[in-house]
Amino acid sequence: MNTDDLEKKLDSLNMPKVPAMQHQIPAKLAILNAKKSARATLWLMMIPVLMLGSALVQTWFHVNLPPWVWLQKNGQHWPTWIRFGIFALVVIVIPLVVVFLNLLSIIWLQYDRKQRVLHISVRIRLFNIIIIIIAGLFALLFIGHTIAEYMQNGG
Amino acid sequence: MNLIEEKQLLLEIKMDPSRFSVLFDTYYTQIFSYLFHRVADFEIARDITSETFLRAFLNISAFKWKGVSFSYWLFRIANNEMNQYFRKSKYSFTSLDLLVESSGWDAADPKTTVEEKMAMEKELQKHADYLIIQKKLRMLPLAYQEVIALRYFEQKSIKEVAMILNKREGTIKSLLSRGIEKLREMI
Repeated sequence: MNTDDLEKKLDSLNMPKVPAMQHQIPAKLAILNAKKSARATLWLMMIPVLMLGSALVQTWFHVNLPPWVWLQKNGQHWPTWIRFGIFALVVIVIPLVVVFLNLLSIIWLQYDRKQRVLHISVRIRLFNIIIIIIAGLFALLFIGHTIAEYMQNGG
Repeated sequence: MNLIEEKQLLLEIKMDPSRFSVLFDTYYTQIFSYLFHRVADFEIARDITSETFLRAFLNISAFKWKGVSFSYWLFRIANNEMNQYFRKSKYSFTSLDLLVESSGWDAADPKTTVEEKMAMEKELQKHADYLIIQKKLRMLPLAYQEVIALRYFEQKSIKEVAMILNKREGTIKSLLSRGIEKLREMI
């Protein structure tokens, strides 16, 4: 066989066909989650933890620590709605955001338009799950506390 | 997907990395097909394809749009991974293994993988001519392997091969001509 013949043979070579496949879906999920991390939300969670921690230290040990002391000192002059807003932001909204972000990083949704099926996959990642539980409990505790106080004050 | 849509998608990926799934779905079969044709082994092709997409995903912020298809960049990464696989006797799919382990996703759905592997092995058996050439091709230096595989297995033009390998068209032509000559001597 000369070079031209081989070139012609290569040009008309019948190649194995590769159809559309499904085996790659788990690898795709792993790849797409490669950058997601729960670490960023840990920093966010530090705000309510510091606030609550400093309040508890003052109550139990009578030691004045920021940011609670700072809030007490300045908050006296603020209208009620601002104080309530800060309270809601720190102990309810931030923990709920943390829960939401961590849920996003372990849940994968994919809608198959052809088959009209919504695939939901949950990644079992202990780190994210622990943060979700802690932040969720934190938010629930203070939502409950707010509702109880509201009802106690007669709505 | 045309170039305008691709450019738009790349911008979207920088804002929302999960949009990478569109590129993954669009090009997976092409890249897997190229690697499968090079190695004629389902599992190796699957693992190198996953490594290719992982590298692309992690380095996409470094990708600069030059008005050519994103697939060329993917082919280049795939080619580098393939060359590493050939150079190292024990190529390890370290990054993907670690990622899959830490993320908790299974590496692959065993049922689908087994079925597709069997189907591809059956398909290989129907192509005796290709198998002979593929075996001989693997004995050539990598520089010849890649140009011949891209040009004849994947039917890419000289210009496309040059863009994928980041070489001049003249270099590709001379590599092709010398590669085919060496392949002919072997056959």
